[in-house]
Amino acid sequence: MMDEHKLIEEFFSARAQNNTRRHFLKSCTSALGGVALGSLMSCGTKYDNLLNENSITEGIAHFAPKAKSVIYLHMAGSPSQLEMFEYKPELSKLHGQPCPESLLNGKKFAFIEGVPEMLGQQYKFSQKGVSGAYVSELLPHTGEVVDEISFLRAVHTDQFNHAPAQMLMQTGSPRLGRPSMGSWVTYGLGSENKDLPGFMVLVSGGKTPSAGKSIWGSGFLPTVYQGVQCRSEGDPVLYLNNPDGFSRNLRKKTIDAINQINQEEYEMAGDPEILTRISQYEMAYRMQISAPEIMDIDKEPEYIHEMYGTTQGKGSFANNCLLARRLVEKGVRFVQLYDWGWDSHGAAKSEALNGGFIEKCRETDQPIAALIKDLKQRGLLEETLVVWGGEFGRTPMRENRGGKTMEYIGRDHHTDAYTMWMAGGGIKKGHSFGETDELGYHAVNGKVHVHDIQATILNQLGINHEKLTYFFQGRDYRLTDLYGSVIKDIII
Amino acid sequence: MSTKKVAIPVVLMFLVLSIVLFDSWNSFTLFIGRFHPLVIHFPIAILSIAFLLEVLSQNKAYNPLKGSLPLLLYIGSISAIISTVLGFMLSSESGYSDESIFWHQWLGISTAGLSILLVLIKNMISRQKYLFIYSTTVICLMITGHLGGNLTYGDDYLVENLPPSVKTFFNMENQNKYERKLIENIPEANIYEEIIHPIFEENCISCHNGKKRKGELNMETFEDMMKGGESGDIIHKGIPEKSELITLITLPDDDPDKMPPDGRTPISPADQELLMWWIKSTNLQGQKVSEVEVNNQIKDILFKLSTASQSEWDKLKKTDLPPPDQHIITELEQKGVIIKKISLEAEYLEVNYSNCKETIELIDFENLLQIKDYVVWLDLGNKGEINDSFLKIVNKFNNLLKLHLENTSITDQGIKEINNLTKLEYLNLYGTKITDQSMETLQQMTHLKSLFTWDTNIQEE
Repeated sequence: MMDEHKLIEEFFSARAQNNTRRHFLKSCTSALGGVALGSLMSCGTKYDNLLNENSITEGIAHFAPKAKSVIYLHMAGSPSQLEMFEYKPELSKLHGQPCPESLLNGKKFAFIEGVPEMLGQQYKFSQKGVSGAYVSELLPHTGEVVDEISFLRAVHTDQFNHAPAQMLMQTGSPRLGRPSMGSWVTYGLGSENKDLPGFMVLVSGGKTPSAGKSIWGSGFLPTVYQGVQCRSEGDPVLYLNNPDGFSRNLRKKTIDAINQINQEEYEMAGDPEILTRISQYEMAYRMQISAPEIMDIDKEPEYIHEMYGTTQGKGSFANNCLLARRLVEKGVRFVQLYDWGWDSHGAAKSEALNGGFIEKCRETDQPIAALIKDLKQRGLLEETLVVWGGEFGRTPMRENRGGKTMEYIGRDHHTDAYTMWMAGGGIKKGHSFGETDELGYHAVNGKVHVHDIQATILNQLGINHEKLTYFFQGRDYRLTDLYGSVIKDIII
Repeated sequence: MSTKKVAIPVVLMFLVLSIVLFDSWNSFTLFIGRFHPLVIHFPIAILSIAFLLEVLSQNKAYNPLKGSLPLLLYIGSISAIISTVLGFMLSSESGYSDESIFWHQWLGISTAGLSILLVLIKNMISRQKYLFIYSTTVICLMITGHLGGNLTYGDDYLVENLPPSVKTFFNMENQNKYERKLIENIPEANIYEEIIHPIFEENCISCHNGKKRKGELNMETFEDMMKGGESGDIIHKGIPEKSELITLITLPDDDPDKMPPDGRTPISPADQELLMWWIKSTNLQGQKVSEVEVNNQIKDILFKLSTASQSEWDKLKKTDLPPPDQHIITELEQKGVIIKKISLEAEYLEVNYSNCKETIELIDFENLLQIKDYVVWLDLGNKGEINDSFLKIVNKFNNLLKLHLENTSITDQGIKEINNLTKLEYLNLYGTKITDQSMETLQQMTHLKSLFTWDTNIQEE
């Protein structure tokens, strides 16, 4: 018995002696070699996501584009469609009456409490142009160009707060982390000009929009695609110029040295962000020469300044519009203008429909119309898609913050139906798609979602929104995520 | 054997019942007949495996199998008989034309018959003859089965999804979806032949044709279509709302009777309008478009069907070129010119000089001639050195659709040089010194849709 035990013990210990850590590592070499081979063959990374110096002009459209560039005019805060483009006489008849139950049931509002009053339209409307689109008296200049515009009157969204709604509009998701429209477009198509970034952003109105700079950020795309913010007063691009005493030549040598080190680092580590860094240094160097010249709007003739209503020397929305035209002329792919101050709640004079709103309309009406006219006469409107809109709309009811009548007049956030418009770049002229009910509350037909608008913008640039994807964290992402369809009605 | 004693009476009873109860439209026949696709799996599997084992058992290692062979064959032939009878019942169901069923039916009967024969004469003939008849039986079985599949799924079911490269190899590409041809002359077009029949070809005739008549409806020719189907006429002259054709195609997507069925793409709204317009016309077959009233909506739809609605770009896409010489392109790109394919659809290029910092020399520009057929969009705008001598070269790019010449030094002389650009649709001349003198040349560019000048007209359609 003892002998049998011993035999068994001996058997096990003999086996164990041949099963040491050394043996384990030896057997693992083929597996380790496999892992190394995999990384050499770059398993786990998608090569077509990798950025290289030339990819800035490498992107090819899926089908022939109608538009080469986009100018996106985002009115942050969300303008009141009922005081600009939607004529609703029925609503005005109900002015002052308490809001019907049916419109309040089950709805969550940002600030409205209890039963608000209906708010009639504050300004007069008249029909403009051959298309007969209704435009309010606050927008006389826009009224002159309605025949170039296609209105989308039944746009809806799911977010009723500024930051998530702006992110949904610009990045396709109400949460942080996704690339913005301009980044997707530059990633897909590149830029027509090696000396300028493909995506540039201009901000006016005094503040950055609520969602912050992430709405022109690059999300998970290589950072070379992020929007570059520039200004129409002072230094056109921040942090671009050399410090005093630092010559351009010296700058070039510095950048070359830095990039040489970066290149070696890249060859060791293979991190695509390094390439981004290299190309951004080079781009910044080129921009030192190109940017001041392009951004200098003073060079424009006097009649152009008058047409836009620019304020020389100071920044303004009008200056930004003129700058946008110049940028598009130079081949910048995606230009975004953010104008802050449209959040007409009525809680203070500056944000009241009978206060600051009039000022906002006055500031933007003339430049927007001028932009369209200017692009058209230069033959660029055909190749440039102009988009205007906010992140949601405003309610037909008057806002009653805290349940009380407020001193000034305003409307609360409204997600079910609002108005945006598009012009140029293969969009029908003098057209309108979508309708809301007589109060401007619900969309009655032609409903489109934010994702549909994104799909349409990409479509006009020749991109199939379902095919422009990026592999990240285990799955393919795209601007429109899993949704969105092109709004065929408004495209030629 | 006791099994035989049980099996034969059962089968005989089944046969008698079937004959007695058989009546083409008897609901029982239709009910039982539908079990044909179910039962048919038995003779297919059993007879095949029986034959396989029969052959294998000749090998010493598989000798023990010999014991099961008679029973397998027996069960196989019984199931073949039952399948045949069920198949006969199923054939009374509508939707199958006589010709398509003919071979399937007779080969099926042959299979059943041969298998019975095998059971009966097994011990009476030589092994060789036995195996010969056995293999014939199996071959009949295979062909019957294949034809049965074709009846259910269509003739091209097995090859439809072959990888494209294989299809090209065997020259099978024409099996693509039917593509409607664009119409040259809309007013002279025969409404039924050129507009309506193609809609049927695209969506309906795959199931409603001479060989396969679902719902007893054949839409291949006008006469056959007017005969209607099992529920009567599909067209009620003059009244689209009462026409079965229209009712079925306008059902909601989740309705089981919707045509086309099985989740296929519904008939487009434009085609629906055309069909309704056609039904309202007095003579459904012989009329031309010019003889029938058209409202604006129909006009637009018809326009989209005409060759006139095809853009120049569409036409260019159809005559795609092989990839251009990369060497030339790289050479030009090094000078700062941006050359890109317009889209993934074709090899045509857009060439953009406008953002190029260096001055363009005439010699460098001449290099572009090497790929002249590829250049479809050309941007020379905002380059002051571009003058009339460049335009002589530009004239040779005969595939040019878009030309940017704004803010250049060209003059009327130069415009006269580009009289050969017949396909040009977009010409931007703003900020140049041209005058009315150029109008003559410009008016000859019949395809020109957009013209931009700050001297003379703004736009010309």
